[in-house]
Amino acid sequence: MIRYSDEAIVEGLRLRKENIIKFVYREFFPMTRHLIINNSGTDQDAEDVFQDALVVVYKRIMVDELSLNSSFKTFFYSVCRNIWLQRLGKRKERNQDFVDFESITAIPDPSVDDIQNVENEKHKLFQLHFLSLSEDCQKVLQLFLKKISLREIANIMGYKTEKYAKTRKFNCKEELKTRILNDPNYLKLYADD
Amino acid sequence: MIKKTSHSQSIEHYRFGPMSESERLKFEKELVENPKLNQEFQLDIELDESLKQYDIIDLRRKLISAMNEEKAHVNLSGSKSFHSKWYMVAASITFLILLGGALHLMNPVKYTNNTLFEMYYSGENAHNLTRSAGNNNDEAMTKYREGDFNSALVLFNEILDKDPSNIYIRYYTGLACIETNQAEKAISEFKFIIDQKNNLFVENAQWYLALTYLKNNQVKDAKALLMQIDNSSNPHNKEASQILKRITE
Repeated sequence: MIRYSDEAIVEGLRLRKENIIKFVYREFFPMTRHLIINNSGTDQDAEDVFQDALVVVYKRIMVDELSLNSSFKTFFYSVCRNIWLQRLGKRKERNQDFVDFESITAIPDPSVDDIQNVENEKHKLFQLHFLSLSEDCQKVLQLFLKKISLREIANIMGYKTEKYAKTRKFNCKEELKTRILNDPNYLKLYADD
Repeated sequence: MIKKTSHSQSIEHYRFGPMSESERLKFEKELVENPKLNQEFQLDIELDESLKQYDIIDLRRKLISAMNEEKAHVNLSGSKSFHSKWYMVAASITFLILLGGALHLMNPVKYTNNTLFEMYYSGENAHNLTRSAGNNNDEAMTKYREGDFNSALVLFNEILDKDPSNIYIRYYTGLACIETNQAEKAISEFKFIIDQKNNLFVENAQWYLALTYLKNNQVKDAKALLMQIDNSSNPHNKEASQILKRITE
């Protein structure tokens, strides 16, 4: 596997380059999993935390707030660690004997506030359901949100009429809303709001 | 029991039309009085806001794809434990997919160059730049992010006057030129980036150059570049392959 420098990782994430995202996942997921599994979590928790951490890091890069005083690996580990500690705190499961990944010393408190609020949890839930829709539905909804006219949407998607494009967009959104409304996590978020 | 929406039609009409003035007033009154309608209305708005985070959605999509790819790889490595009937099922599904693909290829749908461009072009979200070439970087990128591409271009040009080799700015200049229908200038910017080699923008520049060729009806150039992308590890190689099947001579 090609290895990338910390600078290349940061620039690659800024551009959301697939090869860099794959590299980051292959390189850093095992340590994240190790951290979570050894501290009362599951594989699903590990994937969840990893995804949240990547979004935190990406957002930080985009607003130019990412200054690496340590290696990217240590920084990423610390973000994962803090997200998981907060989540354990919410679940009231925090263990006194928190086990760290032996080869990494977490850096003090890289803030994860921006991921741990209800608004961001909602965005995540909505976006993951959106990504579970058919590609066709995802494309129609995004074209509509980009204010592309129904006529153009029909043309782009190969639909015969504008009316069908409108119906398709409506049905896709209905499907998305139904999936969200039936997700137990949505009700939980609403209760926390 | 599956929960369903019950006010979607009226919300749709209220937000995007058509709706008469009297119906609007009635809707707004009900919005205050009916908590269920209010909740559905809020969901509709929040959902749209969330789906406008195109870059985050793109990031999640690519990460999920990486996760699935890795899991498939692990499963394949440990596949000796699979029962043979699952091989048969998988083989049957693969056969059907290949058959469907073959039938599709026998009669591919053709699109106009502009339609193909619209299908595959998605403007990149801008960001503040770390490698500053001038003090007005932030202002330029803010203009770009806001969709004010003409003003962004003026500022980009000022930066490039002082630092012509600034690849970042050239990249976003190319994109802003696409947005403002200045195909020739976009082509020149992307070519510059590709000629510099060894920078992180090369693959994306190739992709956007191919799309710009398409938009500019330079079909021969577009096809040559798309073939190059298709035969490389460029992250857009699958899309390039799709376009090549749909392109009109």
